[in-house]
Order: sequence, then structure tokens, then C-alpha cells
Amino acid sequence: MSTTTLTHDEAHHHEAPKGWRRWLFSTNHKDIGTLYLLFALIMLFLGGASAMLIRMELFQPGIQFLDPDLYNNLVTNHALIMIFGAVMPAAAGLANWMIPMMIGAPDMALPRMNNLSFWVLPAAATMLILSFVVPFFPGGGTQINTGWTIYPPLSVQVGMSMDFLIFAIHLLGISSVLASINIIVTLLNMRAPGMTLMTMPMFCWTWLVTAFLLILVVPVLAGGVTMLLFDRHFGTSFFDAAGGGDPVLFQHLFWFFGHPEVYILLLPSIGVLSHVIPAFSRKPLFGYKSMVGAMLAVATIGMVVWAHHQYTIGMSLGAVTYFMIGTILISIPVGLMVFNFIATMWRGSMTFETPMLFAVGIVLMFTFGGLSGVMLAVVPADMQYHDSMFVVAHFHYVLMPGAVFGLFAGVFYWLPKWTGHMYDEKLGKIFFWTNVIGFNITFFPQHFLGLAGMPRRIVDYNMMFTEFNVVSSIGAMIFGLSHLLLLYIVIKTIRGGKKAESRAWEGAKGLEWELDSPPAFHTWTVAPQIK
Amino acid sequence: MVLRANQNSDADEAVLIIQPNRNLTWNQSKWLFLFFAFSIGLVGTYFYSLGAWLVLPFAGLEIAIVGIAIYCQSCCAHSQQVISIDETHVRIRDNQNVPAEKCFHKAWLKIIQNQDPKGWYPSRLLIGSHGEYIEIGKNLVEEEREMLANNLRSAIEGA
Repeated sequence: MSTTTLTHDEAHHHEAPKGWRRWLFSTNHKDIGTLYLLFALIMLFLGGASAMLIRMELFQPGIQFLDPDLYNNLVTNHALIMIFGAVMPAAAGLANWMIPMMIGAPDMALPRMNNLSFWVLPAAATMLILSFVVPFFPGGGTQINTGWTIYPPLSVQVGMSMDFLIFAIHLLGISSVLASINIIVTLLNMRAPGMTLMTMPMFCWTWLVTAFLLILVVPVLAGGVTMLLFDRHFGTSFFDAAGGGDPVLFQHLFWFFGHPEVYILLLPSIGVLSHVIPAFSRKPLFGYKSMVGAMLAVATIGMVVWAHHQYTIGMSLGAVTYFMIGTILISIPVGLMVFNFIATMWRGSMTFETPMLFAVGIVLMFTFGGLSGVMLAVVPADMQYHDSMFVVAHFHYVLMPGAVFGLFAGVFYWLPKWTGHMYDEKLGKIFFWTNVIGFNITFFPQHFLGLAGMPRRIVDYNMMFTEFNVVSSIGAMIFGLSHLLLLYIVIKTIRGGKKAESRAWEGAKGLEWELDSPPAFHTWTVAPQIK
Repeated sequence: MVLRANQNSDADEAVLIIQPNRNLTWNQSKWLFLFFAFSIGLVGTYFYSLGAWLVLPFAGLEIAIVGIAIYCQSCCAHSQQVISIDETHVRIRDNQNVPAEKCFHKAWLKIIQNQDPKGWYPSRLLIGSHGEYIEIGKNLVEEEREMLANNLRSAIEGA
């Protein structure tokens, strides 16, 4: 056993640090959560700006101001920025802020790793943005016109911007894996005494499953893009049929990651809903155990049905049938979750504050997106819908309500806890309605465009599609601009407003509501005892 | 962090156990790691069999990171100091790395709570005598450390 002299040689900060060092060297889960959320907000506006450009181009048939390659570059960057830059970091921000407070832990299990997993993100985002910008410079090569799926052989032929993208994906993967490991270790080892896995808040459960999914699928994507890099620069032929390779192999690698990624984006929002709906229905969540079971089923089945994105590549009948049945099976546990949310609301004393409005909107619109997903799961139908605007409409109906609106619900639900101020409820409701109406005007007509045969990822379209495209573009402007109101509400709430109580919402339950609003820099330094 | 105090009245000995809060035993941590290693390994092997052998190094790297993370956290979570106070002696057993025990005679014992003058760092609780001191309650928060110091003083005076 070591003995010591009476000096101070240990470096443990207990006071809140000040200035830029507070953020750069932060190991505090709340600060890192704030950094994640801020980063996600910036990326949301970047990704949103590219979406607005896409819709402006599609406002009229013919080529307006974007050449076809640039249009596809924007499509690629919009998807990657939104998925990896906005939605995943925002969900990680909520996790960082809420998980330790919800389970009664003083911080994340590995705080330094937490810092690293965030600070890798800006580097990744820089690489991602460079992949878009580089082609504009002399010698920068061709634009990334592959879409976010970066399928070879096209991705092997693209200029150096693809290399930036590959390294950006690697960095994003490192960040995700580190964050996931941290979350898993925190949830499994740092719960307050008396809190079992089956009494853990549902948001924590959703993140446990999400983190596990991420850990399983990220190495596959990392391997896939590295093979792509090797094909591009080191003379290998993993995906080159002329050299004995198989371009379809990349599709399997990509979608083994890409399909569970959908659940990675969705599940944290399902977790948010599991808190928001009971709080504003003033009832406990209906079917906690079935909810956990459904989530595990979604994750398990979701891992093994990736090839439904590849029906048109010419798989064997047996394989196609398997992937079709598996995909349709997912609708059962997802339906169970939706049923549980509706059953929670049933005969509850419901009030419709902004988080609840988003929650109800999600239940309606996500179900709608799920139904068009069942249509796409059916092979003969998918053969018709494949690569049409119907697919664009479908995944936006799944991901916007299922992931983004869920995060909005979470932000409005926990904003009083984070800032210590109530947000402006009237503005919150205006934001909800403009956002939801704008969203539906944008994407609902795209179902009809797809069914009528308009292909996606093409800068021009036939005259017959003009009307619905005009409507869709007007909707996109409303939808996009409505997010400025979100920014205003958040800034206004941070700067002041009505003081929030510890339990900001009457029906809110959970350890996080036992803490002050805003919580102290260090919380749950003494673990609470759960009875 | 958790501070537990047990009183063994038969042996006339006060025992204080200082350990962080934890949910997993070492055995459960090992099973957790094996579960991750198996799952990631299975995915890596499947894609290796399809010809995508470059997935394997990434899978291996990830298994290593998961292992290190679980190990580090478990080591930290299983650190423990047991302070036994009997009629004449105070024994401090440290189970952090290599288990070790130190014994001090109560008559000479000093308990010093050393505050950082600038308030930048947490205080340090030192126990010992004759110039030989051991830091205890390193992983406690300030209030708990204060409480531990008071408990120790009263236990030593009262025993």
C-alpha cells in the first residue's frame, strides 16, 4: 500500500471550469451533451440548406441552376450530413445529458473517452464538408454523385472528394463506437442502487439497444469503405468484376450497416416518446416489458433483413422471400410499440403542450411511413417503386417523424430542465404546426410523384410532374424556414423566461426531475436509493 | 460513490467500507465482454466468409476497445478500502490493485483533511502516524469525505 506526503499532486477539478477550456477539455456529461446538441443544430441547418437547394432546383422542370453532378453531390451531402451530422449527434446529446441523470450516476462511465468521442466529430464534419467543397477547386476531381450509398463502380471512379468522404465515415464511426461503448458501460454498471434493468427508464433501454446495434454494424461499414479505398488506390478488385470482385458485395456491406442505422436513428426517439406520452397523459407507460421485448425484437430482426434494399439486384427466389418475410415481420413489434403509445394515451388526462403535440404527430405520421414501408417490403411492388420518389417520401415519413420529431419532442420536454427556464409555449406550438404542415406539404405529394414514375436522384423531370413538384418545393420552404423559429425559441429560452421548477411538467416521472432546473454542474454525487 | 458502515458488536470492532456504486460483478463483466466479442466476431466471420476480410481487423479492434473499456471501468468500480477499528489499532485494507494492509496504533493516529488553498482540487483525507500517511476515500465526493472524516474521528475516540 502506498503512503503519501501532505502535498497536492492530484489533478481533479471539482469546480466548474471557465472559458474555452471548459468545453475543449470537458469531461462533464452535461457540457458534452450541450456540445453534441449544438453541433447537431449547426449540421441540421447545413443539411437543411442543401435540401432547400435541391427543392429549389426541382421547383420547375429543366435545369435551373444546378448541374446534374452538383445536384447529386448535394443529395449525397444532404443525406450524410443529416444522418451522421445532425440526427445521430443530437440523439447522443440527449443521451449524454439525460442518461446519468436518469439512472442516478454522477457522470458517464468513461468521461475522457466521452470527450474524445465528441471532439472527433468536428474533424469528421470538416472532412465531410471538404468532400463536398474539394471538387470546386482546380484539380479537385469530380463531384460525389453517388448518393449516400456510395455504390461502386461509380464511387471508385469519383475524384479525390471520395477519399475525404471515406475518412469522414471512418471518423464518424470511431466517434459512434466510442460513444456507444461509454453508454453501454454506464447503463450496465452505474445505475443507482435498487435500479434494475427492468426498472430502468425506457430512454435508457432504447439507448442500450441502439448502442449495441452501433457496435455491431460500424465495423462492417468501416471494412466496406476501406475496401473501397483499396480498390481506388491500391489496385485491389474487391468490387471490380473485371478483377474477380463483386460490386454487389459492397451493397451487402453497406446495407448491413444501413438498415440497422434506421433503427439506430429511430430508437432514441422511441425512448423520448416513452417519457413524453406518459408525462402528458398523466399515466404510466402501458406495457413496459412488452416495449422492451418489442425493441429487442426490432433490433434482432432489423439486423438480418438488410437486403430488402437490394431486391432489384437479382437475388435468388429463396433469398428474396426470406428478406421479404423478415422485413414484414418487423411491423409486428413496431406495431406493438405504437399500440402501447396509444394505450398509454387511452383515458389519460391528456394535455397538448409542444412535446406532446410532437409525440402525437409522430404516432400518426410514423405509422403512415411504416405502412408505406410494408408496401416497399413486398418484392413485386418494390420492383415498381424502386428508385422512385415514392422511396424518398417513404423514408422521410419514417425518419422525420420517427427520428427528428422525436428529438424535437425531447428537446422541448427537457429544455426547461437544461436551461432552468420554460420555453415560450405559444411559439413552440407555432413551430410545431408550421413544421408538421410544411413537412406534409413537402413529402406527401412525393408519394404520387413516385407512383406516377418520377425517378429520384435526377436533376430534371418530365413536365407531367410539375404541379406536385411545385407544391413539394413550397412545402420545403415552409418546412425549412420553420427551423429558424426553433433556433429562436432555444436561444430565447437559454437567455431567460419563466423559471422552471424541478419537476417542470406535472406528470413527469423519473430521477432527472428530482434535480434542480438547471441541474448543478455535478449531480448525483451521492447515488440515490431506488425503492 | 457509496459509503457503507458496518458495526461488528461481537468483536467490538467498527468496520467502514468505501467503494463506488456498481451493478456488475467481475463475472458478469466477463460475460458481457464475451457476449460482445462473440457477436462482433460472428459478424466479422460472416463477412470474411463472403470475401470481405477487411471487416475482420475492424471487428478485432472494436473487440479490443470494448474489452479495455469494460476492464478499466470494472477495475475502477471494484476498488475498495476497508477500515477496521478495534480497541487498539486501525487497519486499512486497500483492494484497488494489489491487496495490501496497513496497521496504525490508535494512540498515535492522526486524521488530516487537507484542503486545497485555491479550491481547485478536492480535499484529501489522510490517515496515519509518525510521518506515514495513507489517503483514504479518494473516490468520494466532498460531502462524503467530510462525513467519513467525522465518522472516523468519533469511532476512534469512542472505541
